[in-house]
Order: sequence, then C-alpha cells, then structure tokens
Amino acid sequence: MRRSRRDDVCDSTWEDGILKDTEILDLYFDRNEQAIAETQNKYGTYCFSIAYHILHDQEDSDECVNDTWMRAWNSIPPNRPDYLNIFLGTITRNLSFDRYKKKKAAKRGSGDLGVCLDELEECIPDTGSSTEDAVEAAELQRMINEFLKTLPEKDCNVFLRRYWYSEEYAEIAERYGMNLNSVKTTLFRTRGKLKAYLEKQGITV
Amino acid sequence: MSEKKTGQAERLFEAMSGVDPELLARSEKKKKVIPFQKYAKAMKLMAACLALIVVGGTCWATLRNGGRQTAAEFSANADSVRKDGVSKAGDNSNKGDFAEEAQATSETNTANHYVVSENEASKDEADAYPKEVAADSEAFYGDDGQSSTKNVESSTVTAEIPKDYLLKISESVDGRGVDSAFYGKVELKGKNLLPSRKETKSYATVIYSWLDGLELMPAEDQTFEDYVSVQLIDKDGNVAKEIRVCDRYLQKTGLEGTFEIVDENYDYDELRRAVDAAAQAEE
Repeated sequence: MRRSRRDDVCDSTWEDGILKDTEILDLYFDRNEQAIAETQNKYGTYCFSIAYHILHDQEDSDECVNDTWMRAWNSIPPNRPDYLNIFLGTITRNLSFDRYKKKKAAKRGSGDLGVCLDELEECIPDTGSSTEDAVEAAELQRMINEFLKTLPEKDCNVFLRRYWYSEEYAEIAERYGMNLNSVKTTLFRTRGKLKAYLEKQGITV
Repeated sequence: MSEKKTGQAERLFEAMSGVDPELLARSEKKKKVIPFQKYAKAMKLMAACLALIVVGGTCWATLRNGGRQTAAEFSANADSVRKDGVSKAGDNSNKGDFAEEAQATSETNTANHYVVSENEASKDEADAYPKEVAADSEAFYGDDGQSSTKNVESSTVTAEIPKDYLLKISESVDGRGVDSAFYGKVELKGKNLLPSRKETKSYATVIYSWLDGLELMPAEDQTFEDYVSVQLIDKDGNVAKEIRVCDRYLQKTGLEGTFEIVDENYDYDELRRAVDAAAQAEE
C-alpha cells in the first residue's frame, strides 16, 4: 500500500490508545468501519471545534461532524490525504459553512462568523466592475495560497486561525502567546495586504 | 455592508478551504509558554526590588569588608602571583606592560571585580595562584577577610549562551590550537566558584565577569605557552568579545580546561561551519 510522505510524520505523533493516521487510513482502505470510530476518537474534538466556531450551536456542530465522517468514508479511498486532520477539518468547515448560510438565510443562528465575514469584506478588491465575471473558485484558491506564502509565518498562522478556523482573537492570542492588540493589528495589516494583492492581480471576487 | 460585499466575503471564506494543508498544519503549533512568563508583567516590579536589594547588599558587603585592593597595589603584586609559566619567563621588562594592562583592566571592571590577595601573593610562588576576593568574600574567606586556601566543594554553573551567539573556546596546548565551539547551554565545573555565580542565565556574563576579574590577562604582546581564549561570536560571524586567559590559572583553580555541553540540541557540523566562517572572517 502506498505510503505518503506525511505518513512518516504522522507515525511520530502516535499516542497510546490512538491509532496513527496511517493505520486509520489503512482501515478506510480496508473498508473497515472501525475507521470511523478511530477517526472520531482522534479527531472528533478537532472537527467539532471547527464546526462550533462557525455555527456556535452544539447540535448543528454535532451533525456537521457526523456528516464529516460519512463524507470521509465516501472519499477515502481513492483519496489518501497527507494530512488527515486537515482533510477532515476542511470537510467539516465546508459543511459547517453551508449550514451557516442556510441558517443565515432563514435568519437563525448567531456567532462570531458574521464578524469574520465582515472583516473579510475589507479584503475585497475595489477593482473590477459588476459586469465582470468573478474569478473561478479554483483560481481564487490558488491566489490565496500564493498570497499566504508571501506572508511571514506568524502573520500567516494568525490569518489562518482567524479565517480558516474562525477562532476568536483571544484564542489566537493564547495559542501564540501574543497579546490581543497584536493579534488585531496583525490581522488588520494582513487583510490590507490581501486586498492589495488581489487588486494587483486585477481579479474580481 | 452591501449584500454583494457580503456575498464576496463568503466566497472568499469558501475559497480559504483550498489553503495548502502544510500551511494549516504549521498554524497548529502552539507557542510554549513557560508558566513563569504568564506572571512576567506582575513580576517586573518584584524583580526590580530584588535587584535593588542585591545591589544594596553588594555595596554594603563591600563597605563592610573594607574595600579591596586598588589596581596600583595589585599591579605591584602582579609578579608574585603570576603562573609558573609566566614567572619563569623571568622577563622583567614585561612586568610594566602587564601592570598597565592589569590596571587598565581593573579600572574597567565592575562590582564583581576580583583581585589577588596580597597575603597569598607573598607565599611560595610556585604554589601561588590568584584568590578571588569578592564583595561576599566572607563566605569563602572568613570574617577577617583574609585570603585562605580553603577548599571549596566543586560547584557547577549551568548557563545559557545568549541566543544567536556561539561561545568559542580556544585552547592552546603545547602550541597546538584546539577550538571548541558551544551553543545553547554549557556546564562549567570547577572549584572556588562563588555561590552568586550559580544558575546565572548568561554564560557569557559568568565567564566574562569571572575572567575579567582575574586581571591576569596578558598584554597583547605577551605570549604564553598555554592559554585559553574565549570568544563570543554573533550570528554574523563577528567576534563580539575575546578574552585570553592563561590556562594554568584554570588548572590551579581546579577548573576543568574543557567545558561540558549540557544541552545537546545542536548541530555540531553547523556549529563547526559557523566557527570556521568566523575564523575566516578574522583572517
């Protein structure tokens, strides 16, 4: 069975009672339903955290996490992600955001995500007219990745914790040992840089 | 904000799902927070008070012990406390140079300044070795402040070399140069180390203030059969500071001529390359 580069790293993070990522992936490939239980055991809290940061609702978050396991079961194989946690977290994030949009449309729910989105509006470039087609999603993703790689590690990390994980300022500050104002300042500047970068690319979001 | 902007923001948020997993994995790392640091702000005032107490205590102890030898007195006694290797050279013409060097060094030293005990200097030259008379010499030498040959238990100083610095220790044994370079922490074992030296955070501070106080550093035109040179090299390969001390002194005090590395989390090859680069930069 093919082992990815990441497997070697995942192997080193094995803890007592919790399978390594490689072993969990092997269960998926063997179509052993124990894979889901092991995934839940290892990444349940992680995925729930992502969902809850977006939805701020226990029940909805649980549902998104359960849906994540199903999606993972359906996509592994053929996928064999290098970073299983990120793979699962991405699924959770997408599901959670879809649910958020539905709730927002129904004028239900609350949370910090609205604030995150308001902040991201600052990153929308002023270029482009309403008649221009928005850039393709894949292209936008590529540009965001390129942009993130231009950032210093700290700024990139803070940006991702805020706009990927939807964490609050205080959580980010505690994670990296920064004070609150530093986090806010870093994010403010990074948003400005993203906007400038997208404008320079001349794209329409 | 307009609905269009909101929609664009949502699109941007969705596009973030395609972020490189390596970047996301990197963001997972948490900064290690030493519990003490959590209270750092609150401890600043306490640290300032402690510093005042320490300085005050040092000054008090100094006054109590009746001061120390002046540089002039020391230089007059310098000959009698030279090492065997130096005194045997018997070159009296160098004495004046050395005395000047010693005086100049003495004048630049700070509170933790060490001088040679006059009493000790008058003893057998072969056995004479510098004694440390510090502000708190009473701990070693008794109430009368006289030097003595008290044996102090071997003590250990563990300290960290400042970040981005290498501590390079060069030893010359029988004319052959041997370089050792250290990064991170070192453990300095020896005798006659004052209690105040223990557990200091900066190895450079330990060794510089200790060696500075010896006042036995030879003048630049002096050569010794054996010596130890200590350099602090910054990350650009510049020599920030260098001190040369006769190795025989170290032997006399029981201090080991080599320094044992405590923290082994270093890449020795990289260290060697850095030391070599620094040496080439000097040439």
